[in-house]
Amino acid sequence: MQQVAKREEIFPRDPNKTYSLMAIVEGDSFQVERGPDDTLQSWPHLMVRELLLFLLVFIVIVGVSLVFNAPLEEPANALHSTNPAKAPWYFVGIQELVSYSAFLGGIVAPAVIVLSLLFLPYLDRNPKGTGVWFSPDRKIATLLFTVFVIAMIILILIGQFVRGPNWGLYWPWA
Amino acid sequence: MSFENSACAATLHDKASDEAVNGDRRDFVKKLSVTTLVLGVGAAIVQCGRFLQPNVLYEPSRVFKVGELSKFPIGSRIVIEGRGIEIVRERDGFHAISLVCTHLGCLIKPVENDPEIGYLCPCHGSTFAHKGEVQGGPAPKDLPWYEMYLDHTGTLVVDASKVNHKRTKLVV
Amino acid sequence: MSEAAYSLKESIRQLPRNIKESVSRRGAGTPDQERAAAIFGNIFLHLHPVRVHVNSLRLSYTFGLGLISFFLFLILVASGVLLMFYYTPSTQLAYRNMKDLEYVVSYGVVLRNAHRWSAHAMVAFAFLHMCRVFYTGSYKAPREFNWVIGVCLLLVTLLLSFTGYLLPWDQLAFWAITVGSNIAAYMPWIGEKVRFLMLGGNEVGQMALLRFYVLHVALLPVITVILVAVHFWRIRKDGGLSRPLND
Repeated sequence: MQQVAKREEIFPRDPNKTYSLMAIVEGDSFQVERGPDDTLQSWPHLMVRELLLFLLVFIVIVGVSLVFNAPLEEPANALHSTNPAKAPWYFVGIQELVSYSAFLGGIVAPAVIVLSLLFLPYLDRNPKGTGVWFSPDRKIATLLFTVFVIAMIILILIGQFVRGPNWGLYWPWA
Repeated sequence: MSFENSACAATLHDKASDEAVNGDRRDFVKKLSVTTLVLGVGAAIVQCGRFLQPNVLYEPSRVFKVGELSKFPIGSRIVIEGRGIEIVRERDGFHAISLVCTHLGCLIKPVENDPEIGYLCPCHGSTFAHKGEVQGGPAPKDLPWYEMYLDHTGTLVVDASKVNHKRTKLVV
Repeated sequence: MSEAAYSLKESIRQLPRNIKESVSRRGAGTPDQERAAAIFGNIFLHLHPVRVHVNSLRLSYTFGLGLISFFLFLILVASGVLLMFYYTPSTQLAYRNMKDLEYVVSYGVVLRNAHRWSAHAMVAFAFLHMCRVFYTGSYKAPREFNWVIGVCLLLVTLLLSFTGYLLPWDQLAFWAITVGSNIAAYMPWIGEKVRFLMLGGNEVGQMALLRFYVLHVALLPVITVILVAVHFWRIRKDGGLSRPLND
C-alpha cells in the first residue's frame, strides 16, 4: 500500500497516457530495459576469464616453442628449386587447386570464396536460429558451410601430406 | 521599410522556382565535389602505385652473352646456370628456350634421353616436349624461345626480354 | 575546502593515492559503479561493454576462439618486435640472422619458435572463430558488418603470415613466395602488374624482401590493430555476443 502511494506521488497516473511507473526497485545501479538477472559486470566476471585464457594461450605457446623448433632450410637459392615447392599450409589447398588449373584454382576459386564470405550476411538474413549451435532452422546453411570447410581441409591435407616430389601422389610414409 | 516590403512580395512570387533553382544548384555542387573527390583520390592512388614501381632494377641484365660458338657442338643441350635458359643446338640451328615453368615459375629440369619429354617441372609435374610444347600437367603455355644473335666478336648473345614468337632458329 | 588541503605537505602525504586515482580515473562510488568504471574508464577495456550477458560467458558457446586469435596476435607483436632487433631485411644477412637467432642470441630460438607457431595458430584460430560465428548464425542482423570486418581480418592475417614467410630467406621461403606471386600473376589484365609491384621487380630478390618486410612489420600490423579495434567495438555496439532470440 505504501509503495503504491509512493509511486503515485513520484509519477501520478495520467488517464491520457498508456504508460505508468510500475515499481521502484532498490539497487545501486541502473536497470534500463534489462531483465533482472541476465547480465553480469564485465569486471570481474568477464575480465578474469579473459586473463585466465591469455595465461593458458601463453603457456601453451611457450611450451610448444621450447619443444619444437621452427623449420629452417638451406639459404634461398634461385638456381635450384626445391622439389616439391610448397606454399604455406593455409595456401596449400589453393596450390592443390592450382595444380589442376592455375586460373580457375588460383584466381577464380579464391575470389568466389572471399566474395561469398563477404556477402554472406546480406544474402542469408533470416534471423531464425541465431545464437544456437547447428540450429535445426538453418540445416541447409550448416550443410553448405560444412561441405566448404571439409573440402578446404581435404585439399590442405592432400597438398601438405600426400603430394611428394614432382607433385605426384605419395603416401605420407612413402 | 517600404523597399523591403516590395522586395518581399517579389520573392514570395518566385519562391517555388527559386527553390527548384537552389535544389538544382545544390545537386550540381554535390555532384561536382563528389567527382572531384573521386578523381583526386583515384589520381593519388595511381601515383602511389607509380611511386612503388621501381624505375631501376638491380637485377641481372636480360641481354647477356652465353659464350663462343665452339662451346656448343651440334646436338648439345647446355643449361646456362643462373639465367633460367637452355641453349639447344641442332643440325638446323640454335635456339634458346626458357627453363622457367609457365605454370608457377619453378625451375624446369631438362630430361635426358627421352624421345617424348624434353623438360619436367618439379613443382607440379608439368612436362614439355623438346621444342617446349606442353605435354602434360597444369602448365597453360608452351615454353617461350628467346631471341639470340651473334655479336661482332662472334659470341652468342641471348636477349631474354624479347620472345621469339615465330620460333625461328639461329642459323650460323 | 581550506587552503591547507592543497599545501605541499598534504600533497606529498596523498601522493600515492592521487597518482593512482589520476591514472585509473576512479573515484569512490558504489561497488557496481566502481566495477563499471573499471571498464568504461579504461581506454583499452572500454571497447568491452560494462555488463555482459551470461550467454557470452558460456565457454561452450564461444570456446574463446576469437579471443585466442587476439591473444596470439599480442604474442606475435611482442615476439616480433623483439625479433626485429636482430633481423636485417637483406638477402645477404637475413639467413645469417636466422642462424644467429638460433645459436648466438639468448632466447633467440625460443622467440623465433614462438613467433612461427603463434602465426600458424593464429591463422587456424581465426578460421575456427569464423566457423563458430557461422554455425551459431551470429552474422545475422545487426551483426552483418562485423562479419565483413572479420572476413577482412582473416585476409589480413593470411597476408601477414604470407609476408612473414619470406623473411627467413631460406629455400622454403623463396620458392613458396615464387609460387605464391606467380599465382597472383594469373589475375586477368592486372596480374603481371600486381606481381611486379609486389616483388618490386621481375624476380624474388632484395626488393621483394624489403617490400615484404615493410608490409609485415609496419603496414599490415597497423591495419590489423585498427580492424581489431573496430571489430571489438562493434560487438558492444551490436548488443554483445549473439544469443538465442527468445533469451
